[in-house]
This record gives sequence, C-alpha cells and structure tokens, in this order.
Amino acid sequence: MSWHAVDAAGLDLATGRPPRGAGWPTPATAVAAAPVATWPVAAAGQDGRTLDLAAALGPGGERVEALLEALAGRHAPEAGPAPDSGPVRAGEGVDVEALARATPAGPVAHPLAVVDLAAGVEAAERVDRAWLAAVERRRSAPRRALAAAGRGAETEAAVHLALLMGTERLDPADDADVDAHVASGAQLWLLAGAVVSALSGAEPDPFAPWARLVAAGLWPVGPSGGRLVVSAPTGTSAPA
Amino acid sequence: MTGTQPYFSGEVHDAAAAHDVGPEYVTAVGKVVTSHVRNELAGAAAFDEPAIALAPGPEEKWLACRIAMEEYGHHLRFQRLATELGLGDAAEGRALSVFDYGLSSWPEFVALKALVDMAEVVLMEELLATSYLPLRALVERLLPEERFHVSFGRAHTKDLAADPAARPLIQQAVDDLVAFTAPFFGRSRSANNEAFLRWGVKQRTNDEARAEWAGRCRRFVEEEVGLRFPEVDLRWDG
Repeated sequence: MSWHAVDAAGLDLATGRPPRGAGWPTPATAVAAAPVATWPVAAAGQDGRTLDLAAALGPGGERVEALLEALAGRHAPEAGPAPDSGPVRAGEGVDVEALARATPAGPVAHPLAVVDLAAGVEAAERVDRAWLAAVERRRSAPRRALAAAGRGAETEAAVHLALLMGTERLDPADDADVDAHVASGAQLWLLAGAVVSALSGAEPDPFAPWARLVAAGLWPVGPSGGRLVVSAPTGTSAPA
Repeated sequence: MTGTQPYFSGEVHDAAAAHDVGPEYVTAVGKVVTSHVRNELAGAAAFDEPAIALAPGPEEKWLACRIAMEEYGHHLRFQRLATELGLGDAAEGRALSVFDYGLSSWPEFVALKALVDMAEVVLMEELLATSYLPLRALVERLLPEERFHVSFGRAHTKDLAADPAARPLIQQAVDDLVAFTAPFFGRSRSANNEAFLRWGVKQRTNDEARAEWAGRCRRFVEEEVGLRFPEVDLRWDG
C-alpha cells in the first residue's frame, strides 16, 4: 500500500499533480514528507481511499486537526488585508485573559499585561526560569510517551505539518528584525509542543489554551517581573 | 573565473526546459540542488535543533528555534525544486562531513552560525547568477534568511568574545570550525565543479569559493572579534 499527501483538490503536495507512482508506506509518513502544506491536508492511498488529517494521525489526530484549523484560519500577514474585512488583529475572537492564565505549567495569577513586540522581547529575558523549566518538562514528556508507544511517525507528521504552516504564517516580514525572530521562534516552539501534546491525548491538554493564543497571532510570553505577559507582535484587539 | 570556460550561456526557465537542454544539464543542476537538500536538513538536525537546548536564556532559545525552522524550511524548498526536476527523494544519501561536528556548547553554536553559515551564503550568492532560473529565484528568497543567521552568529560571537571567560571557548570553536568547514566547498580537482562551470550553474571553482569564504571569515575574526584566524589551505584534495 502506498500513500501520498494531497490538498483539498486531491493533488499531490509534492508535485501539484494527481498522485501517481511510488508513495509512502503509511498515511503519516506521507504527510511527514510533504514539502509544502496547504489546508486542509489529507492522505490519498493508491486504492482510492482518502483519509483526512485526523484519521491519518490516529488517536489524538482530531485535536491536532482542530489546532491547525485554527492556525490556518488566521489571515496570513504577508498576503495583506483580507478583502472587505480589514486587517485581522491579533487576539481577535479569543478570550485572551482566560487563555493566558492557563499556562502550560499551570495557572498564573499575576496581573495580565498585553504589550507590543519590543516589550515582549524585554519581558522574555526576565521570564520566570522555574516556570519555563516546568514548561520544558511538560513539553518533552508527551513526545517521549508517543515514541514509547510506537507513534514516532505520527508525531513527526504532526510536527512537520504544524511547523510548515506555522513557519509560513509566523514568518517575520523583515528578515533582519531580531525582535520579530524572537517572537516567531517562541511561537513556533509553543506550537510544536502543542501539537505533540494534542496528539498524546493528554487530558486536560496543558498546551491547548496557549496554542489558541498562538493561532490568534499572539505570543504568550509568561510570568515576568510580577506580570503575566502576552505580546501582540502585529498589534492586538485584546484589552491592555 | 579560472579554468573551464562555459559553453552554455543561456537561461533555463523551468524543469521542462532543463530536460530539453539535456541530461547532462539536469544532472549538473540536480547535484547542486541535492547538496542543498541534504545539507540544509543535516545542518538543522545537527546544529540548530540541539542549540535550542544549549541556549543560555529565553531570547537566545527563541532565536535558535526560529533559525532551526528556517533551515528546515530551506531544506523543504530545495526538496521541492528537486521534485520538480524529477530527482525523487534528494534527501537520501550522505550530507557533507562538516555535519559530523559534534556541537556541545552555545559558544560553538554562535561561532558556527558566523562561520559555517557564511559558507552557505557564499555558495548561495554564486547561484544568484545560475543559468537555472528556478534555483536563482529560490536563493534570492532564501539569502536574506541565511544572512540573518550569519549576522546573529556574528553579533553573539562578538558579545561572547568580549567576556574573558568565554573568549578561549570562541577561539577554540573558530579553530575547530574553520578546519571542518574548508572541505565544504569540495575538492580542488572536481569533475562536478567543471560540469557546473560548463553549464553556467556556478561561476567559480571550488577553490575560488573557498578563498572567498576564508577571506570574509578572516576579516571578521581578526578585525571585528580580535581573535586569531587559523591558516587555511585553499586547496583541498580530499
């Protein structure tokens, strides 16, 4: 059996043409080999079956799909304002305060501060190191559990796809802007942790609230200087 | 340019046109594209991803993360070019031995970005005039990111070198990395390089590219950082 990653029209993501020839042995390995990502993504088998992403990834796949659906729904900044709707503002449509307080390392009660990019980078340097270490532990645990369960291929597929989509959507407009690279790197780090956590089936999922903030264009920085800091790299509609 | 003169001076607009030129041309372009497919992936895996854990603080960690993602993205973009040319999975096969370098510290990583990524910049800049236009367009898009990686490495190398405790670590990294990177440009006598020049895929010999890289890095290390740049043999025969 052979599989290809395909777009909504059923075209092979590697070639832009209908799938043909040798593909990959499983739906997950096909998704993990896709050189580009569109949304939605599916896996097409040589027997004519098509699996959506959730099915291709197996248990937990529907949560990964929902996370990436939210990421895909955000208007790409490089494409300019969406027609007739005005520019999308970071944080639009989400309860920033409620989501921000549910950090991946547990609830944080500090006063919320929604700040611009420069202030976010400044706050990141003073972020609570014990809290960050706890986030790191929670981030790495599900990856180890998935590997131990023999789901390395599904994990790789989920991370690969999330980072393809995230890299495109969170790409700094200015290639020399250090602050924008810091924010983008942090968002991608959270996103990668979030898809692995989602796939692992952790309940409640510690990364889910912050993944929604990232998908909404925000950079949740963390507890820093007695505040819970969220940065809006491209402007925000969230309350300051 | 020295040595082999090009006998192909045209511009090739897409993969179909490359195949019309002939199999030798596809092979020449394919080898260059394939080397980037492998090396961008190997670099991300061997250097950039481990650096995320070695970063001394959050800002450095997020920058390393961003850089790792960009290098991985470069791998995928070159892979797509390879697929268009009908090269199959170009990631199969061995990456250059420079990626055998065992990264163990943050000072090594920042020196690596300053020196090894400069090698990538030199190689990509040469492709700005390549006869295969999809490759030219791709490097036009990727070069600003590679240059950012070098500027990141340079800024952090200079910062660390100003610290007396870290200065010897930077010097050691420079010594080690220069020796590792010089072969990155290929052998002095190279049939592949001759084919690249004949078909207008590249414009410089391997030794000329090596000399360009060594000159830029020497100026940075000696004049901006104030450290010693090791002697580099501009010829390499494997």
